[in-house]
Amino acid sequence: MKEVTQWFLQRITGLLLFIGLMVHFYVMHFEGPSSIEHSSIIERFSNPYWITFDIFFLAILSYHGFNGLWGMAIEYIKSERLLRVIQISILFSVVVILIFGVFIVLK
Amino acid sequence: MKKYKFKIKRFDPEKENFRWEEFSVDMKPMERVLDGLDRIKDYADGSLTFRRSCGHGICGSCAMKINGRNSLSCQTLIKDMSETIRIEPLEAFPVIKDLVVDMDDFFKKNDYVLPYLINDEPPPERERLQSPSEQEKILESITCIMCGSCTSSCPIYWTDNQYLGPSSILKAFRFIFDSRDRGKKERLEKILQPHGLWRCHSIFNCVESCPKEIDITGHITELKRLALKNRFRS
Amino acid sequence: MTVKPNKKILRPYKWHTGFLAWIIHRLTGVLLFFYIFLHLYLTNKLKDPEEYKATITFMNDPFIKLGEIGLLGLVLTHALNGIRLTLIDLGLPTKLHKIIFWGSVCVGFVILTIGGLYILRGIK
Repeated sequence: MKEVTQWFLQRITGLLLFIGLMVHFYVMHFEGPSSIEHSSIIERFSNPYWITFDIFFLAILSYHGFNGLWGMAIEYIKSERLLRVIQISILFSVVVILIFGVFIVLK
Repeated sequence: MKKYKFKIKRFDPEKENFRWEEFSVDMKPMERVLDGLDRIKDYADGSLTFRRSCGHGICGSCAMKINGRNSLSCQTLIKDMSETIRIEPLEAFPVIKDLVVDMDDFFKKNDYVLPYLINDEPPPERERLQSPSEQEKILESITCIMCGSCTSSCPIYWTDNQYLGPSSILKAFRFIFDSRDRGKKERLEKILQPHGLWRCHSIFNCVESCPKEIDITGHITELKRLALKNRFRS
Repeated sequence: MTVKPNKKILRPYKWHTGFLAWIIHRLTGVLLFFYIFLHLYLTNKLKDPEEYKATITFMNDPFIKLGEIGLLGLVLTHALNGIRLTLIDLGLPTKLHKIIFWGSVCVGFVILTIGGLYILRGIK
Protein backbone atom coordinates (compact mmCIF):
# COMPACT_ATOMS: atom_id res chain seq x y z
CA MET A 1 0.00 0.00 0.00
CA LYS A 2 1.19 3.51 -0.73
CA GLU A 3 2.34 5.64 2.18
CA VAL A 4 -0.28 8.29 1.35
CA THR A 5 -3.08 5.79 1.85
CA GLN A 6 -1.52 4.48 5.06
CA TRP A 7 -1.24 7.99 6.45
CA PHE A 8 -4.81 8.82 5.46
CA LEU A 9 -6.25 5.58 6.85
CA GLN A 10 -4.36 6.14 10.13
CA ARG A 11 -6.34 9.35 10.62
CA ILE A 12 -9.67 7.90 9.49
CA THR A 13 -9.32 4.79 11.68
CA GLY A 14 -8.26 7.02 14.57
CA LEU A 15 -11.46 9.05 14.35
CA LEU A 16 -13.60 5.90 13.96
CA LEU A 17 -11.90 4.39 17.02
CA PHE A 18 -12.70 7.50 19.04
CA ILE A 19 -16.39 7.21 18.13
CA GLY A 20 -16.37 3.46 18.78
CA LEU A 21 -14.72 3.92 22.16
CA MET A 22 -17.33 6.48 23.18
CA VAL A 23 -20.07 3.94 22.40
CA HIS A 24 -18.12 1.24 24.27
CA PHE A 25 -17.60 3.43 27.32
CA TYR A 26 -21.21 4.59 27.32
CA VAL A 27 -22.53 1.04 27.30
CA MET A 28 -20.05 -0.22 29.90
CA HIS A 29 -20.20 2.54 32.48
CA PHE A 30 -22.98 5.06 31.83
CA GLU A 31 -25.94 2.78 31.24
CA GLY A 32 -25.92 1.53 34.81
CA PRO A 33 -24.83 -1.73 36.43
CA SER A 34 -27.36 -3.84 34.52
CA SER A 35 -25.26 -3.60 31.35
CA ILE A 36 -22.42 -5.67 32.80
CA GLU A 37 -24.62 -8.45 34.20
CA HIS A 38 -23.92 -11.86 32.76
CA SER A 39 -27.25 -12.12 30.92
CA SER A 40 -26.83 -8.81 29.11
CA ILE A 41 -23.26 -9.68 28.13
CA ILE A 42 -24.46 -12.96 26.60
CA GLU A 43 -27.28 -11.07 24.90
CA ARG A 44 -24.83 -8.61 23.35
CA PHE A 45 -22.60 -11.44 22.15
CA SER A 46 -25.56 -12.98 20.28
CA ASN A 47 -26.90 -9.72 18.84
CA PRO A 48 -25.82 -9.48 15.15
CA TYR A 49 -25.42 -5.68 15.38
CA TRP A 50 -23.07 -5.95 18.34
CA ILE A 51 -21.16 -8.77 16.64
CA THR A 52 -20.65 -6.58 13.57
CA PHE A 53 -19.65 -3.64 15.78
CA ASP A 54 -17.18 -5.77 17.74
CA ILE A 55 -15.52 -7.29 14.69
CA PHE A 56 -15.32 -3.99 12.81
CA PHE A 57 -13.98 -2.24 15.89
CA LEU A 58 -11.34 -4.91 16.35
CA ALA A 59 -10.32 -4.78 12.68
CA ILE A 60 -9.98 -0.99 12.75
CA LEU A 61 -8.13 -1.14 16.06
CA SER A 62 -5.63 -3.69 14.82
CA TYR A 63 -5.00 -1.73 11.62
CA HIS A 64 -4.39 1.46 13.62
CA GLY A 65 -2.05 -0.29 16.05
CA PHE A 66 -0.25 -2.16 13.30
CA ASN A 67 0.31 0.98 11.25
CA GLY A 68 1.51 2.97 14.24
CA LEU A 69 4.03 0.37 15.37
CA TRP A 70 5.16 -0.27 11.79
CA GLY A 71 5.98 3.43 11.33
CA MET A 72 7.86 3.51 14.62
CA ALA A 73 9.88 0.45 13.62
CA ILE A 74 10.95 2.19 10.40
CA GLU A 75 12.17 5.16 12.41
CA TYR A 76 13.97 3.42 15.23
CA ILE A 77 15.54 0.28 13.76
CA LYS A 78 18.59 0.80 11.58
CA SER A 79 19.63 -2.78 10.86
CA GLU A 80 17.73 -4.14 7.88
CA ARG A 81 17.53 -7.66 9.30
CA LEU A 82 16.33 -6.62 12.75
CA LEU A 83 13.74 -4.41 11.07
CA ARG A 84 12.38 -7.42 9.16
CA VAL A 85 12.23 -9.48 12.38
CA ILE A 86 10.41 -6.73 14.25
CA GLN A 87 8.00 -6.03 11.39
CA ILE A 88 7.13 -9.72 11.18
CA SER A 89 6.51 -9.87 14.93
CA ILE A 90 4.25 -6.80 14.71
CA LEU A 91 2.32 -8.46 11.88
CA PHE A 92 2.14 -11.71 13.86
CA SER A 93 0.81 -10.04 17.02
CA VAL A 94 -1.82 -8.14 15.04
CA VAL A 95 -2.96 -11.36 13.36
CA VAL A 96 -3.13 -13.02 16.80
CA ILE A 97 -5.28 -10.16 18.11
CA LEU A 98 -7.64 -10.41 15.14
CA ILE A 99 -8.06 -14.18 15.20
CA PHE A 100 -8.39 -14.37 18.97
CA GLY A 101 -10.88 -11.49 19.00
CA VAL A 102 -13.09 -12.98 16.31
CA PHE A 103 -12.90 -16.33 18.10
CA ILE A 104 -14.12 -14.73 21.36
CA VAL A 105 -17.00 -12.96 19.65
CA LEU A 106 -18.21 -15.98 17.65
CA LYS A 107 -17.45 -18.74 20.17
CA MET B 1 28.41 46.15 31.09
CA LYS B 2 27.59 42.99 32.95
CA LYS B 3 29.48 39.76 33.45
CA TYR B 4 28.07 36.75 31.59
CA LYS B 5 29.23 33.16 31.96
CA PHE B 6 29.62 31.35 28.62
CA LYS B 7 29.47 27.58 29.12
CA ILE B 8 30.71 26.04 25.89
CA LYS B 9 30.69 22.35 24.99
CA ARG B 10 33.98 21.79 23.20
CA PHE B 11 35.21 18.87 21.16
CA ASP B 12 38.87 18.12 20.66
CA PRO B 13 39.27 16.08 17.43
CA GLU B 14 42.77 14.90 18.41
CA LYS B 15 41.78 13.54 21.80
CA GLU B 16 38.22 12.81 20.60
CA ASN B 17 36.57 13.98 23.80
CA PHE B 18 33.85 16.43 24.75
CA ARG B 19 34.35 18.84 27.63
CA TRP B 20 32.54 21.85 29.06
CA GLU B 21 34.55 25.01 29.39
CA GLU B 22 33.52 28.25 31.07
CA PHE B 23 34.47 31.77 30.07
CA SER B 24 33.34 34.94 31.75
CA VAL B 25 32.86 37.89 29.43
CA ASP B 26 31.68 41.48 29.92
CA MET B 27 28.72 42.09 27.64
CA LYS B 28 26.38 44.96 26.86
CA PRO B 29 22.67 44.07 26.71
CA MET B 30 22.27 44.91 23.02
CA GLU B 31 25.23 42.80 21.94
CA ARG B 32 24.78 39.36 20.40
CA VAL B 33 25.97 35.95 21.57
CA LEU B 34 28.27 35.90 18.54
CA ASP B 35 30.05 39.01 19.85
CA GLY B 36 30.74 37.11 23.06
CA LEU B 37 32.19 34.18 21.14
CA ASP B 38 34.36 36.56 19.09
CA ARG B 39 35.60 38.17 22.29
CA ILE B 40 36.50 34.78 23.78
CA LYS B 41 38.38 33.81 20.61
CA ASP B 42 40.23 37.15 20.44
CA TYR B 43 41.14 37.65 24.10
CA ALA B 44 40.75 34.40 26.06
CA ASP B 45 41.25 31.28 23.97
CA GLY B 46 42.25 31.47 20.31
CA SER B 47 41.64 27.75 19.80
CA LEU B 48 37.84 28.10 20.19
CA THR B 49 36.41 27.11 16.81
CA PHE B 50 33.05 28.13 15.38
CA ARG B 51 31.60 29.05 12.00
CA ARG B 52 30.61 32.63 11.31
CA SER B 53 30.40 34.78 8.29
CA CYS B 54 28.01 37.68 7.80
CA GLY B 55 26.91 38.24 11.37
CA HIS B 56 23.54 39.54 10.20
CA GLY B 57 21.39 36.42 10.11
CA ILE B 58 21.51 35.78 6.38
CA CYS B 59 24.40 33.38 5.68
CA GLY B 60 23.29 30.66 8.08
CA SER B 61 26.79 29.71 9.25
CA CYS B 62 26.55 30.39 12.95
CA ALA B 63 23.64 28.09 13.88
CA MET B 64 24.28 26.46 17.25
CA LYS B 65 22.42 25.23 20.29
CA ILE B 66 22.04 28.13 22.70
CA ASN B 67 20.44 27.35 26.07
CA GLY B 68 19.09 24.08 24.71
CA ARG B 69 17.48 25.52 21.61
CA ASN B 70 18.88 25.83 18.08
CA SER B 71 19.31 29.41 16.93
CA LEU B 72 21.68 31.73 15.11
CA SER B 73 24.20 33.18 17.54
CA CYS B 74 24.29 36.40 15.50
CA GLN B 75 20.56 36.86 16.04
CA THR B 76 20.39 36.06 19.73
CA LEU B 77 20.66 39.15 21.89
CA ILE B 78 22.41 39.11 25.25
CA LYS B 79 19.49 40.91 26.94
CA ASP B 80 17.26 37.86 26.35
CA MET B 81 19.76 35.53 28.03
CA SER B 82 20.21 34.50 31.64
CA GLU B 83 23.60 35.00 33.29
CA THR B 84 24.87 31.59 32.23
CA ILE B 85 24.72 30.95 28.50
CA ARG B 86 25.07 27.30 27.49
CA ILE B 87 26.39 26.86 23.96
CA GLU B 88 26.59 23.49 22.21
CA PRO B 89 27.16 22.38 18.61
CA LEU B 90 24.05 21.43 16.59
CA GLU B 91 22.53 18.08 17.56
CA ALA B 92 22.56 14.98 15.34
CA PHE B 93 25.34 16.16 13.02
CA PRO B 94 28.84 14.68 13.53
CA VAL B 95 31.01 17.25 15.34
CA ILE B 96 34.30 18.21 13.67
CA LYS B 97 35.70 20.61 16.25
CA ASP B 98 34.13 22.62 19.08
CA LEU B 99 31.02 24.19 17.56
CA VAL B 100 31.74 23.19 13.94
CA VAL B 101 29.64 20.28 12.66
CA ASP B 102 29.79 18.17 9.51
CA MET B 103 26.74 19.18 7.46
CA ASP B 104 27.44 16.88 4.48
CA ASP B 105 24.34 14.77 5.08
CA PHE B 106 22.21 17.90 5.39
CA PHE B 107 23.34 19.27 2.01
CA LYS B 108 23.20 15.86 0.31
CA LYS B 109 19.57 15.52 1.31
CA ASN B 110 18.98 19.04 0.10
CA ASP B 111 20.40 18.11 -3.32
CA TYR B 112 18.28 14.96 -3.31
CA VAL B 113 15.01 16.91 -3.78
CA LEU B 114 16.40 18.67 -6.93
CA PRO B 115 16.67 22.21 -5.55
CA TYR B 116 16.86 24.00 -8.91
CA LEU B 117 14.42 25.23 -11.55
CA ILE B 118 13.27 22.49 -13.94
CA ASN B 119 11.62 23.96 -17.02
CA ASP B 120 12.22 22.82 -20.62
CA GLU B 121 9.97 25.46 -22.17
CA PRO B 122 11.91 28.06 -24.18
CA PRO B 123 12.44 31.12 -21.98
CA PRO B 124 10.55 34.28 -22.91
CA GLU B 125 12.43 37.31 -24.17
CA ARG B 126 13.23 38.73 -20.76
CA GLU B 127 12.36 36.46 -17.84
CA ARG B 128 9.86 33.88 -16.63
CA LEU B 129 7.17 36.02 -15.07
CA GLN B 130 5.16 35.28 -11.97
CA SER B 131 2.10 37.04 -10.62
CA PRO B 132 2.25 38.56 -7.12
CA SER B 133 -0.20 35.98 -5.79
CA GLU B 134 1.89 33.14 -7.22
CA GLN B 135 4.94 34.65 -5.57
CA GLU B 136 3.13 34.98 -2.26
CA LYS B 137 2.60 31.21 -2.19
CA ILE B 138 6.34 30.54 -1.95
CA LEU B 139 7.37 33.78 -0.25
CA GLU B 140 7.78 32.24 3.18
CA SER B 141 9.65 29.17 2.00
CA ILE B 142 12.25 31.12 0.00
CA THR B 143 13.38 32.97 3.11
CA CYS B 144 15.13 29.77 4.27
CA ILE B 145 18.87 30.36 4.74
CA MET B 146 19.74 26.66 5.16
CA CYS B 147 21.39 27.01 8.55
CA GLY B 148 20.41 23.48 9.59
CA SER B 149 18.64 24.51 12.81
CA CYS B 150 15.40 22.76 11.86
CA THR B 151 16.83 19.45 10.67
CA SER B 152 19.11 19.21 13.68
CA SER B 153 16.21 19.87 16.06
CA CYS B 154 13.93 17.20 14.55
CA PRO B 155 13.51 14.17 16.86
CA ILE B 156 12.85 11.93 13.86
CA TYR B 157 16.13 13.00 12.27
CA TRP B 158 17.90 12.14 15.56
CA THR B 159 16.97 8.49 15.18
CA ASP B 160 16.19 7.90 11.50
CA ASN B 161 19.32 8.76 9.55
CA GLN B 162 17.57 8.24 6.23
CA TYR B 163 14.86 10.82 6.97
CA LEU B 164 15.09 13.78 4.58
CA GLY B 165 14.53 16.30 7.35
CA PRO B 166 12.33 19.42 7.48
CA SER B 167 14.78 21.56 5.54
CA SER B 168 14.82 19.39 2.41
CA ILE B 169 11.05 18.99 2.45
CA LEU B 170 10.67 22.76 2.74
CA LYS B 171 13.04 23.11 -0.21
CA ALA B 172 10.88 20.66 -2.18
CA PHE B 173 7.82 22.76 -1.28
CA ARG B 174 9.53 25.89 -2.55
CA PHE B 175 9.91 24.35 -6.04
CA ILE B 176 6.75 22.24 -6.15
CA PHE B 177 4.57 25.29 -5.57
CA ASP B 178 6.64 27.56 -7.84
CA SER B 179 4.45 28.49 -10.81
CA ARG B 180 7.51 28.60 -13.12
CA ASP B 181 8.67 25.09 -12.29
CA ARG B 182 7.72 21.97 -14.26
CA GLY B 183 9.51 19.31 -12.20
CA LYS B 184 6.67 18.84 -9.73
CA LYS B 185 6.22 15.13 -10.46
CA GLU B 186 9.87 14.14 -10.06
CA ARG B 187 10.17 16.05 -6.81
CA LEU B 188 6.97 14.61 -5.38
CA GLU B 189 8.28 11.14 -6.18
CA LYS B 190 11.47 11.96 -4.27
CA ILE B 191 9.69 13.06 -1.10
CA LEU B 192 6.82 10.55 -1.17
CA GLN B 193 8.90 7.64 0.08
CA PRO B 194 8.89 5.85 3.43
CA HIS B 195 11.68 8.06 4.78
CA GLY B 196 10.36 11.28 3.30
CA LEU B 197 7.25 13.29 4.00
CA TRP B 198 5.48 10.63 6.06
CA ARG B 199 8.03 10.58 8.83
CA CYS B 200 6.95 14.09 9.86
CA HIS B 201 4.71 13.85 12.93
CA SER B 202 4.00 17.58 13.43
CA ILE B 203 6.32 17.89 16.43
CA PHE B 204 6.98 21.61 15.76
CA ASN B 205 10.61 21.49 16.96
CA CYS B 206 11.63 22.85 13.55
CA VAL B 207 9.22 25.78 13.80
CA GLU B 208 10.42 26.54 17.33
CA SER B 209 14.05 26.66 16.22
CA CYS B 210 13.79 28.38 12.81
CA PRO B 211 15.66 31.72 12.99
CA LYS B 212 13.63 33.00 10.04
CA GLU B 213 10.35 32.07 11.76
CA ILE B 214 9.19 29.94 8.84
CA ASP B 215 6.12 27.83 9.59
CA ILE B 216 7.83 24.65 8.36
CA THR B 217 5.24 22.23 9.76
CA GLY B 218 2.48 24.18 8.02
CA HIS B 219 4.31 23.83 4.71
CA ILE B 220 4.86 20.11 5.25
CA THR B 221 1.19 19.50 6.03
CA GLU B 222 0.29 21.34 2.84
CA LEU B 223 2.51 18.92 0.89
CA LYS B 224 0.74 16.03 2.65
CA ARG B 225 -2.63 17.36 1.52
CA LEU B 226 -1.30 17.76 -2.03
CA ALA B 227 -0.11 14.14 -2.02
CA LEU B 228 -3.51 13.01 -0.79
CA LYS B 229 -5.29 15.02 -3.49
CA ASN B 230 -3.03 13.51 -6.18
CA ARG B 231 -3.72 10.04 -4.83
CA PHE B 232 -7.48 10.43 -5.19
CA ARG B 233 -7.27 12.08 -8.57
CA SER B 234 -5.25 9.28 -10.15
CA MET C 1 23.86 8.23 0.79
CA THR C 2 26.26 7.04 3.46
CA VAL C 3 25.88 8.69 6.81
CA LYS C 4 27.08 8.00 10.31
CA PRO C 5 24.02 6.58 12.03
CA ASN C 6 22.47 8.79 14.67
CA LYS C 7 22.39 6.73 17.80
CA LYS C 8 20.31 8.56 20.36
CA ILE C 9 16.54 8.18 20.57
CA LEU C 10 16.11 11.36 22.57
CA ARG C 11 18.47 14.27 22.98
CA PRO C 12 18.35 17.12 25.48
CA TYR C 13 16.36 19.82 23.78
CA LYS C 14 14.17 22.67 24.97
CA TRP C 15 10.72 21.37 25.87
CA HIS C 16 7.59 22.75 24.34
CA THR C 17 4.07 21.44 23.85
CA GLY C 18 4.52 19.81 20.43
CA PHE C 19 7.64 17.89 21.47
CA LEU C 20 6.06 16.74 24.74
CA ALA C 21 2.82 15.76 22.99
CA TRP C 22 4.73 13.64 20.46
CA ILE C 23 6.59 11.69 23.16
CA ILE C 24 3.38 11.12 25.13
CA HIS C 25 1.55 10.10 21.95
CA ARG C 26 4.17 7.43 21.20
CA LEU C 27 4.25 6.07 24.74
CA THR C 28 0.47 5.91 25.14
CA GLY C 29 0.14 4.34 21.68
CA VAL C 30 2.50 1.49 22.55
CA LEU C 31 0.91 0.98 25.98
CA LEU C 32 -2.58 0.85 24.49
CA PHE C 33 -1.44 -1.70 21.91
CA PHE C 34 -0.27 -4.02 24.66
CA TYR C 35 -3.45 -3.37 26.61
CA ILE C 36 -5.45 -5.00 23.77
CA PHE C 37 -3.99 -8.38 24.76
CA LEU C 38 -5.09 -7.92 28.37
CA HIS C 39 -8.53 -6.81 27.26
CA LEU C 40 -8.96 -9.85 25.01
CA TYR C 41 -7.75 -12.13 27.81
CA LEU C 42 -10.41 -10.72 30.17
CA THR C 43 -13.18 -10.65 27.54
CA ASN C 44 -12.50 -14.31 26.79
CA LYS C 45 -13.63 -15.18 30.34
CA LEU C 46 -16.99 -13.43 30.21
CA LYS C 47 -19.09 -16.10 28.47
CA ASP C 48 -18.71 -18.90 30.99
CA PRO C 49 -20.84 -18.10 34.14
CA GLU C 50 -18.25 -19.37 36.64
CA GLU C 51 -15.35 -17.50 35.07
CA TYR C 52 -17.59 -14.45 34.68
CA LYS C 53 -18.16 -14.29 38.45
CA ALA C 54 -14.45 -14.53 39.18
CA THR C 55 -13.66 -11.83 36.62
CA ILE C 56 -16.29 -9.44 37.97
CA THR C 57 -15.06 -9.82 41.57
CA PHE C 58 -11.56 -9.20 40.29
CA MET C 59 -12.73 -6.12 38.39
CA ASN C 60 -14.45 -4.69 41.48
CA ASP C 61 -11.16 -4.35 43.32
CA PRO C 62 -10.63 -0.60 44.01
CA PHE C 63 -7.09 -0.75 42.63
CA ILE C 64 -8.35 -2.25 39.37
CA LYS C 65 -10.92 0.56 39.22
CA LEU C 66 -8.12 3.09 39.63
CA GLY C 67 -6.30 1.27 36.84
CA GLU C 68 -9.40 1.63 34.70
CA ILE C 69 -9.40 5.38 35.30
CA GLY C 70 -5.73 5.40 34.30
CA LEU C 71 -6.67 3.54 31.14
CA LEU C 72 -9.33 6.13 30.37
CA GLY C 73 -6.62 8.75 30.84
CA LEU C 74 -4.32 6.96 28.38
CA VAL C 75 -7.08 6.63 25.80
CA LEU C 76 -8.12 10.26 26.17
CA THR C 77 -4.53 11.51 25.88
CA HIS C 78 -3.92 9.49 22.74
CA ALA C 79 -7.29 10.29 21.18
CA LEU C 80 -7.33 14.04 21.86
CA ASN C 81 -3.75 14.45 20.69
CA GLY C 82 -4.59 12.41 17.60
CA ILE C 83 -7.51 14.73 16.88
CA ARG C 84 -5.18 17.70 17.33
CA LEU C 85 -2.74 16.25 14.79
CA THR C 86 -5.58 15.49 12.37
CA LEU C 87 -6.84 19.07 12.65
CA ILE C 88 -3.36 20.40 11.89
CA ASP C 89 -3.06 18.04 8.92
CA LEU C 90 -6.45 19.19 7.68
CA GLY C 91 -5.07 22.69 7.34
CA LEU C 92 -5.97 24.45 10.54
CA PRO C 93 -3.50 27.33 11.06
CA THR C 94 -0.45 25.81 12.74
CA LYS C 95 -0.13 28.89 14.96
CA LEU C 96 -3.03 27.47 16.95
CA HIS C 97 -1.35 24.18 17.84
CA LYS C 98 -0.40 25.20 21.37
CA ILE C 99 -3.86 26.59 22.07
CA ILE C 100 -5.44 23.38 20.79
CA PHE C 101 -3.04 21.38 22.95
CA TRP C 102 -3.94 23.17 26.18
CA GLY C 103 -7.59 23.25 25.19
CA SER C 104 -7.62 19.50 24.70
CA VAL C 105 -5.82 19.04 28.04
CA CYS C 106 -8.73 20.90 29.70
CA VAL C 107 -11.35 18.92 27.77
CA GLY C 108 -9.49 15.72 28.65
CA PHE C 109 -9.52 16.50 32.36
CA VAL C 110 -13.24 17.27 32.32
CA ILE C 111 -14.04 14.00 30.52
CA LEU C 112 -11.66 12.10 32.81
CA THR C 113 -13.37 13.46 35.93
CA ILE C 114 -16.88 12.62 34.70
CA GLY C 115 -15.80 9.22 33.36
CA GLY C 116 -13.85 8.49 36.54
CA LEU C 117 -16.89 9.20 38.72
CA TYR C 118 -18.98 6.84 36.61
CA ILE C 119 -16.31 4.13 36.80
CA LEU C 120 -16.14 4.46 40.61
CA ARG C 121 -19.94 4.31 40.82
CA GLY C 122 -19.71 0.76 39.47
CA ILE C 123 -18.11 -0.56 42.69
CA LYS C 124 -20.52 -2.64 44.69
